[in-house]
Amino acid sequence: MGKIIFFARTYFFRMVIVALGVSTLCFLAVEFAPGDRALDVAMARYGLDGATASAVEYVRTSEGLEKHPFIRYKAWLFSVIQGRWGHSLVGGEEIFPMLLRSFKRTTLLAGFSLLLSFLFAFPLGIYCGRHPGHYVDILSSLASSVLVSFPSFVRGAFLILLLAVNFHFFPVAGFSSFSHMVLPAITLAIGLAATSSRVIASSIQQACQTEHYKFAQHKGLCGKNLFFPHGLLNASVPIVTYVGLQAAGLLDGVVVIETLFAWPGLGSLLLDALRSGDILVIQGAGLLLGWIYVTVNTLTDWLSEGFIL
Amino acid sequence: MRRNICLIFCFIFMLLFFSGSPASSAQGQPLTIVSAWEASTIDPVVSGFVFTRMGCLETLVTSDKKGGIEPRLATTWKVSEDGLIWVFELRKGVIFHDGTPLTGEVAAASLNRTLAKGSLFKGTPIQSFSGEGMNVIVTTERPFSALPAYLVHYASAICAPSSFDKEGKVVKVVGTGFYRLTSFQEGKVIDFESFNDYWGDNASISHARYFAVPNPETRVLLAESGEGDIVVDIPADAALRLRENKNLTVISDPLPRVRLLTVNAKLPFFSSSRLRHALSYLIDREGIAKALLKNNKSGATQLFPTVSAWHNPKLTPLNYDPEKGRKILKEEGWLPEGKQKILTKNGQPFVFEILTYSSRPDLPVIAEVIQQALRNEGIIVKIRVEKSGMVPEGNKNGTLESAFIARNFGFVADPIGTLTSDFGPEKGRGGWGAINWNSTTFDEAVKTYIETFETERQVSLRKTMTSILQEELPAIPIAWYDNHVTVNHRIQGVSLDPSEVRPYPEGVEWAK
Repeated sequence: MGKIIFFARTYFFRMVIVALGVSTLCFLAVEFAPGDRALDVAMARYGLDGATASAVEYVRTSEGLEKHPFIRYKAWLFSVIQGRWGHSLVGGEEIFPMLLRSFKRTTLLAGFSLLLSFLFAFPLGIYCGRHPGHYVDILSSLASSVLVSFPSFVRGAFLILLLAVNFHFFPVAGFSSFSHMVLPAITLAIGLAATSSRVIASSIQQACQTEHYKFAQHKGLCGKNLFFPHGLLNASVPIVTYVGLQAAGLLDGVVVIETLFAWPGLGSLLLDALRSGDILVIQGAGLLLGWIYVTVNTLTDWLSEGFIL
Repeated sequence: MRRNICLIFCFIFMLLFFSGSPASSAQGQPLTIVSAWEASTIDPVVSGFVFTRMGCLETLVTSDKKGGIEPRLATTWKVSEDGLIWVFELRKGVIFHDGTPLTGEVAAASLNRTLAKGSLFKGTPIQSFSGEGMNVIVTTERPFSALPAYLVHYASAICAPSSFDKEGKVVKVVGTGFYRLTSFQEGKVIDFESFNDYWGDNASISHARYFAVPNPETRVLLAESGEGDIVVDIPADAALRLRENKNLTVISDPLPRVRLLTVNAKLPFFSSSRLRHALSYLIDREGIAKALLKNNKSGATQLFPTVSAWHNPKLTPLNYDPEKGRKILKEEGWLPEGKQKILTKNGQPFVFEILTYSSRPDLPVIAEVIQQALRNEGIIVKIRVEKSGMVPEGNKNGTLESAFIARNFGFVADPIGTLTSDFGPEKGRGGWGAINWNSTTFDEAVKTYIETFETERQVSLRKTMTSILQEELPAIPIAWYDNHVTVNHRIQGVSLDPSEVRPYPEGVEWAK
């Protein structure tokens, strides 16, 4: 019980500090970057050719951008505490539902990619870990190096050409149905599996070489009774930590894939907001991403602790 | 291990089973138009281009595809003798998608909202719109001959009263076009269905979809896979490749958009028109057009491309003549010095910075070609790639030395608005055009053009203005734009509007 309270308290403090820190840094980075925020918003709203001098002034006064940055930040902070995240300066849409929608899509894509990657990486990693030097291990290591060295954009474009343009198995891009998610997920999963299979293999290999594993072997344990409690369980700590980091990285690090497959997730939302200087969306996304990282890290810590116990 | 492999294969089979075959048949599917531009909101004042170009919303007047204006919801229009009051007579029998009729009051209310909330009419002399029966009356502070050209723009599209809530916020898009909106998925996928009570010819294809894909490579792949029936904004090199595709037709039409090098006339190397011309002579436009834009004809010989009504064939074309350029620079005292042979005058080297942006990916590439060409002549150019907003910012605070930009002179049907904002009186400038360059003759011509209603006089003033810009060269035109569009052979009847105003699906049907 005491441990749970400790975890909950740590999680809460981390969440508040990281989320606020990230959103504040986002605000400062955007606000003090060179350029005129009202002009950026006017260009995103009315197009480059429609952002006339009078349109820029209209945006400045109607959105309160003429006020001092710290007054605006204070107002934003108070409204967020009260549950109001404000509206996008470009499209006028409420920010919270916008973030939630993008977050849902990113989580869906990230979850599906992780699942696919795990389906390949887990059996392969275990096999390679238990049979180091076997031709499967050597081939897997080689394939992993090759696949990781290809940028995700190239992997994605290749898969589109092969599976969408030539064979019409999947649509090229979009987000309206499940089939739209398959190609981006496979593209991500290949990259994830290429690294995680090696992490799994290496962890299993190390666990199988430990003294306590050998002791259990000498005691007469073999097969599942030996490998699962003494090998896999001990190898799980680095694996869980690594997969946790992969999951957190996926939530904001798939901008390239989202762009290629026209998948409107959190990464592309943040990128659009950065381009258009939509400061409230940037702050909101920063807050959400801070929260995600803390949650995933805490969850990983908890799982690791749980496994050790 | 074997069991795992079997499981993986089962999973892949399931994925393939659920994926279906997206581009297997055309009939029964929507007409899909793939474009680069997302609609950030359903508000037509901001993102109306999607709704006008998909034939959902209509304006009072529209483009005639030849640079002129023709009737749409208004059949005729006239202006009072003092030039301050315009009357647009509306087409009879037009109904909105919600079944309510189009009247003068309704149209005027929609236009007044644009006046209050949009950017289109800001800075123009338009005072108000009012409705009387089937007429829309427009009052202006001073004569404003370009008014119909402004009413072509998407932001002036007419919406039904049910489109807005009590505070004037757009809650749905209800227009008069041949397609009505059925779903709006975050401005990226927007679906339409045929409106059977349309006043004109009904849409041949019952459903249409607008799919916004900002990434150009993905648009190309959508064209190749057959998922996009009309795919716009195809990069020039990809257009060349797609011409080989048996299922596609590639249409490459010029647009009233130009790539310009604006230069700061206060700097000693750009201080006279002679020096600016010298720089212009050193740039091989045809080479740039041929190598990078894959079209020899897109090298800009003047500001306005041939597709614009403002193109003046009598102007002496800007050409590549490095000998002449070198001679002028020598006569002006810019002589090579030092080991690197950098042009120098009175101890000052010919070194300047070009500011450009990557939201139009061709700009930094062309800027590098210019940089290399000028380096060969002893001129050092530094390139800075920033957000596009840094151009007007730099122009305003006086730090801008030169900028390589793209300007759309078809933003409103008559480019006078853009010209005024770029080269007109300094007070109303938007920061995209001339830097520290002024011409009272040009300003006078702009003022007279806006206030005159005589066509012949306007034609003569256009010639005056284009001549001034060609002789003075406050901005050096480099290359015009082409719009590369792919059309899938499943459809026929596609006819593009160079002004980028008329609906894409207009006259389009499934191929027989």
